[in-house]
Amino acid sequence: MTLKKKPEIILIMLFFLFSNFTFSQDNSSIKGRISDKNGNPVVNAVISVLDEFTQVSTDLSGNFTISVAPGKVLLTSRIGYKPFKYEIKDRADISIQLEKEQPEEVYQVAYGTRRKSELTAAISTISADDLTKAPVSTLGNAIQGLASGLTLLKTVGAEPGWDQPSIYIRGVQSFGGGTAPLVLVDNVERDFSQLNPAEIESFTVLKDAAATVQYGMRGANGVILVTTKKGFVGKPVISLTAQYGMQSPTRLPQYVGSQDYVSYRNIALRNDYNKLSDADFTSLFLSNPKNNPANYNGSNPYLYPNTNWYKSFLNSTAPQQSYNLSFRGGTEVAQYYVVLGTVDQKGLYKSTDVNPGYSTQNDFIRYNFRSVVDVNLSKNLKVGVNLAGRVENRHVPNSSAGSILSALSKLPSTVPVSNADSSIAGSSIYKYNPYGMIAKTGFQDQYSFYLQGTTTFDLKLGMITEGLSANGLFGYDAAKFYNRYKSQSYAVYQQNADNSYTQFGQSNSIDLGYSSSNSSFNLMLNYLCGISYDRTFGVNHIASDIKYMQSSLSTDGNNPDYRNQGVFGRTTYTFDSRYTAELGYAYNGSEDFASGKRYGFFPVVSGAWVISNEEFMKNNETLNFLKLRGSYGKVGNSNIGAGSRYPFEDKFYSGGGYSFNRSSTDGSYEGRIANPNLTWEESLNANIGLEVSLLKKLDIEVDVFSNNRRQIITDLSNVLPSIIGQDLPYVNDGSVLSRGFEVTLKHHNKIGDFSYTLQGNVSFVKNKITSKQEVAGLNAWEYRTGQAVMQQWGLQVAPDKFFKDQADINGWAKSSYGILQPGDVKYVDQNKDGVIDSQDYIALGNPSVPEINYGFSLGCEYKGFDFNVLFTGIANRSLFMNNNVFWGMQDNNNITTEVAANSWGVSSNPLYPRLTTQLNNNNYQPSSLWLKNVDYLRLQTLEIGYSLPKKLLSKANINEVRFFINGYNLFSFDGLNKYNLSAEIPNAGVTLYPETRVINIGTSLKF
Amino acid sequence: MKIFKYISLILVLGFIACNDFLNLAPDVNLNEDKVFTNYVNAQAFQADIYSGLTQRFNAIGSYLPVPMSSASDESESNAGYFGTKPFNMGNYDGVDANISYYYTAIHKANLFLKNKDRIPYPSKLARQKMVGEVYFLRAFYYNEIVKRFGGMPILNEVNGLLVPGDDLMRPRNTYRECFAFIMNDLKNAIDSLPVTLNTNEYGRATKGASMALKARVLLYAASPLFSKTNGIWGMGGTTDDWYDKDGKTWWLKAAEAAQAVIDLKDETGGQVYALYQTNAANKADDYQNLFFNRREQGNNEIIFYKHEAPVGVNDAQINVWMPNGDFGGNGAVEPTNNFVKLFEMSNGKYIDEAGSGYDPKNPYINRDPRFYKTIIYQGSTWQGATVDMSTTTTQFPAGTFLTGYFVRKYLPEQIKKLSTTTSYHNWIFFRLAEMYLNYAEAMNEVEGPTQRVRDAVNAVRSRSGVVDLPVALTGDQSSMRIRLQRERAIELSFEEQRWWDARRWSTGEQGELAAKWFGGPFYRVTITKNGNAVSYNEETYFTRIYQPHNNLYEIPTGEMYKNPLFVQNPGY
Repeated sequence: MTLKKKPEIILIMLFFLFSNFTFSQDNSSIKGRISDKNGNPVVNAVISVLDEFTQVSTDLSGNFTISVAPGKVLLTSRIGYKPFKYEIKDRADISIQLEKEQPEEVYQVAYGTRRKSELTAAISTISADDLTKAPVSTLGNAIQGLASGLTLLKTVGAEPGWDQPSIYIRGVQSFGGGTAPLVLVDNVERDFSQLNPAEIESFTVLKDAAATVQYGMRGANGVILVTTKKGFVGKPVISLTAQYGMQSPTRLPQYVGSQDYVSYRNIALRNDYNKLSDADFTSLFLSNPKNNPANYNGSNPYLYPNTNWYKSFLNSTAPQQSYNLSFRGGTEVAQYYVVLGTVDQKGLYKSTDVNPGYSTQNDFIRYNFRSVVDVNLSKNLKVGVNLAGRVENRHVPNSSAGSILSALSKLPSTVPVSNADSSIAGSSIYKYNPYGMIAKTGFQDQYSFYLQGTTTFDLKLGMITEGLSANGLFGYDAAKFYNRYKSQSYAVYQQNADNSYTQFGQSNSIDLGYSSSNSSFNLMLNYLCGISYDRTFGVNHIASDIKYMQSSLSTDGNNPDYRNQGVFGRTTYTFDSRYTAELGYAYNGSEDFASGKRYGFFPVVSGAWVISNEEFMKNNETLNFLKLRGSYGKVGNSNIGAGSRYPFEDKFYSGGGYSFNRSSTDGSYEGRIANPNLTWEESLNANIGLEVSLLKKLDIEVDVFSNNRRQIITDLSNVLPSIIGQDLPYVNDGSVLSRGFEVTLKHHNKIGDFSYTLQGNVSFVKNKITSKQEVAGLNAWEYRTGQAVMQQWGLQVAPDKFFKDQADINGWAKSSYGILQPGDVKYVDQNKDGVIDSQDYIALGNPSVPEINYGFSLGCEYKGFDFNVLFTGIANRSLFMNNNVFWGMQDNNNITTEVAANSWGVSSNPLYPRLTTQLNNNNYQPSSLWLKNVDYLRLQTLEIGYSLPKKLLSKANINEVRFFINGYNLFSFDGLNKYNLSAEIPNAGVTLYPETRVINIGTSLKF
Repeated sequence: MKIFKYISLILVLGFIACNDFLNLAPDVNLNEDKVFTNYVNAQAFQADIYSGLTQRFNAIGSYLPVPMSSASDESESNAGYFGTKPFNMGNYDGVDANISYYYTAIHKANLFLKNKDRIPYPSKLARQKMVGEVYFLRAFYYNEIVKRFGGMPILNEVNGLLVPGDDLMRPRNTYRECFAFIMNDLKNAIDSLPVTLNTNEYGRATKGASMALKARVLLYAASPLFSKTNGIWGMGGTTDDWYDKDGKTWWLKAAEAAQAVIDLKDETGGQVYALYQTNAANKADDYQNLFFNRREQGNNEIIFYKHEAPVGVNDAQINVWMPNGDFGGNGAVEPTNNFVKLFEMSNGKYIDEAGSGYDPKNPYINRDPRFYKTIIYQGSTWQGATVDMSTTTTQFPAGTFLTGYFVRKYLPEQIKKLSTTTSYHNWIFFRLAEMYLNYAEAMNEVEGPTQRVRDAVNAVRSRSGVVDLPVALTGDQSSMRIRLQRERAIELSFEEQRWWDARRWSTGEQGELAAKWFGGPFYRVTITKNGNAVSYNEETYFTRIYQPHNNLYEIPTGEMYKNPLFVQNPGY
């Protein structure tokens, strides 16, 4: 038996019970051929019998044989051709001629779809193909640069399984409430970050009010819709993909060797002890052989080592692999899609296998499965079951990546990894050692289990009136989280001059059993139902629906369920494919607001005018498509950010208390002051868009928008006196105006066998706090009103940057951050009160969330070869550099050559303050000295593939064999290159797990 | 189309029917009614009012909080982010000006007092204790505010439970009004609280604690900083012509209040408090041990303290004081040489007095016995090791100590580096020795250095084996005043007294004492060893800035902006 038949049989068996179909006794074989207008055969067309399971497909000559009884109707389907119905009258051979069709593009919108000409909302989409081009396990990292209006910010390094980026749509639009977009997978609120890219059909970003209004007071931050694949009518397609890749760190800081380190440290010590006479300084410090650079000549690697910590404990590559197997197909009656996927991504640490029986290497393993079945139970009723499951296991050392990388970054090269007796090295200053942290603290297993079920039904109510239907969804999501760990501790030993050892810390062997913690469980139930009406009368098309939703998330612990509820709908009227008007609305509520302030009504009107369908433009050869659309309306944001629940009511909490008689006593305390009048943030959003298609080769889409967020959820701690003595209530106050534009271009062309696609998008958004309560009498530069929400604030460094001598210090404003000495940073005293403090902060540089995001790609194909490259970038973003690369030597940490050689007292034109071995509070304030523009342009993905010729494969009954090599995060053009830091995550490799690039090879097969 | 209408109607009706789907909140949480109509809940709320009492006195700074001794001349904080450094540099804006911290504690007290009549107390005594303690705590917290800033807005259970929308722009009350408010709360506390506690109640306020606070508040009010100024900043007179209207001077009232604590009797007529004295061979051992031994171990000197679980070497509250290097602490509190020089010789003479016998080459012999229980110095023994703070020490990493001293007082010696040993440790807010010294100081102002003034001081000195005050002092009130100020500096060192004492002894205009002690050059000793010979070299390490107006804190700029009715303290 052939493999391709198997799923069908299972399905037939499965759904036999439900079927109400009649099987004719009178079946016999009928032959036929399908061709196009020119008589050429149509290959792989599917021919099925209406209301029966029988289904066949055409061969290379367009021929087929089907067993069918006269009187039945045959249905053909083939992408690119109009469907055709053929009634069997006798047993004669059939010849069917199919007409080509160019179906109008259909877009996913909130709880529905819209044809391109009737779409009135601003959305952007990412194709499923593009999602699979980045060899990353976390899907969020694959979408950057692919859609306009989207800002992706990695805030952590590429630690396997822990590298979700932050996402914003059209920027940060509130300074109070939560700013994260709403994310839905198959119309249920779910995280998409660990989905298998192979299971995604479409990825849509809803941007303007017309697009998000269905979500009412949950949609103002924008919405991401992910729709998973379904089956289709056709021969079963089995596809198998296998990939193997290598991750390697992009940039790691370059620290000085031990001879240089000791020399620079002596300079730092001289700065720190500038009051000592030269003689005293020599006797105190320079006479110590440890402080003599000449001793670090390699002759004694234990007392005078030269350790490269990164090289010692980070591999230059780490493997990852992933496999996918899917089955997809179906008949007119039932369609199915089943996918199994697994990812295994290892970490970069060395010395992880020194322990017998276990490894402490990072290892992220994920299994995904999804099984989708849609069945037409009758002419009018379609039922779908979409069942997905996921297991994630994150195996990590029992020391956090942050602590390990901080240790690698901070330990100077003068500390050995181990001592002569092979004990772990350390000292009174450095009481930790990365070897101990990686190999000798044990490990953790963090398990997550997800089961996500979505059942849908769609009932046509044509018997009542044509075009009416009812539909519904029931979502059942369960998640369980479980951690277990084995812990161990280690000691470090300092080798003394007399070869004795001093111990720091305690050494314990690993616990025999597992300890567990953080076991938790949650369950989310979603319920959605509604009725739709969709009908065309001549040139009039009406589409209207109304839906009700509720969801309830139960968590363990003493929390009431988290709930949502709403009614929403939309009515669209299109006249003659030219004019479309749409009214969208939602009426929904939030549990965080008091009864009476809980539910809000959000209406949005929008319209589209397809100018190219007007008589005067029709069939224009140059301008194929021209559409103008616009939307205006009100949406909301009920997310109170990090605040606690139910801020409308008075609450007391258990906690606090005091210790009497040496034992703590239970306490309780009053929560934040309640505000029964608290309600949602509302946003008045306007959007105008233009869609153009030129010469059938170039598509242009432009959107201009203005979002006015008002009644922002905030507290007034900056204006209300502290004598209130309680956490201040949340109130609705202040507004933010966000304005910007987005441009998307797409050019597609084919020259002979060579076809190519050029795409690009750029998004610009600038926001401004237009009102916010602030105290009177501040200096003009201190007001937040008028500035961007995410504006960076800090001290301004004087033009001469550093104090040159004591007289310079005496003649300048005092610092509230410590005692100054020559070589310290000199700040501008903005308010001229003689003290440098936080009142001298001014707005510096750009916001911390970029104002400009862009991406552009080139894809081409030639005779089986394909090539695709994507560049992404951001601009107008500033970050403060505050890690050991810039702040080196402080606290006896390591230092980079770049900073050491350019510091005050070393360089004649210093860029950095004096070196110090101590902690210095003055020099390391947020200031213009440390603020850097972190704009970058990055080679995000590159893929080269080759597909074997179809002719070769057809004999082996294989549809497609493709080999490919691709890479991710390959190169970045930016200003942090000379520091060997990532511009997107300057702390990666320093206080966070490194950023990585991935080179990946793979093969995919389709049967 | 009709059916469409029906279905939407059903949907909308269904929606209205489950309109309280989102109304989960109210049944799950405690609210004011549930807290104060249930005795157990009310007890928990009342216990939390105590949480405003700080663990290591007022530690300042967020990275490594350091005690306020380092703002005074007692010590230097050689610690990371310099909690007290801004003070040393003359910057008072927002340093230790935690207005919201104490008003939060006061708000809790006010909320309790507002509801005090709704609580179902099991007995009258239970009610007296619970309510009395809250009056005590409110007075304590107000005193913390007033001693920093002078008069500040009085918020009570009637007018002070503020929410936005109320009139929040409260002007500052006068110092006298605050004083009267505190005294009234203390009267309520003294009237209702018991003298003794059950063991499981140790750490709670008592009648004695309330009386001790009253004595301290009166002493502060009588002191020059507050008695010689008016309005927001002071009492505006030295005689009680308005509070009790008995015409007594504030000094006399302060002396009487301290005397009352010393004389306090329990229900059986026994003396409640006594200086901690055992029959130790070295009497100064008692001075050391009173910070470790608990009341149930016979330590009756403690009047009010934080009675916590034992501490280990890594507990931040103790770690910050302990010597670093081989000794496992943070070494962030280092006594200055300015302060060490304040210790008398064992013969009772100051080191710079003729005939003191002070030898700068051997500075640590024959000093006040309390010196050896207060300071870790070169050559002293700590945790079995002879401490070496010389330039060639191997006990400390180079450059990790500054002054040449560490604190010994109230640090349990048995909690060592790498060990899991813990020790009891009392954070004492009031102890009897302070009452003796309060009495002596106030009485000296009333009648000069009479025998009873001398007796009170000598009682404290002799407990530690210190010689009596020289007789020659009798008859000279101002010499005695200076004596008492130095006595207080030594006996109550590192107990967060000196920072406030020196300030209240100064006046806004003159600021002489605090400026003399807290400003100017600060000294350390540099110790060098040459074979067995040790030499000590005093050198300036920093010049601190202290101006007369610093006797009161600056109202934080942020609060000044928020409330235009606030008047800033002079000089800022």
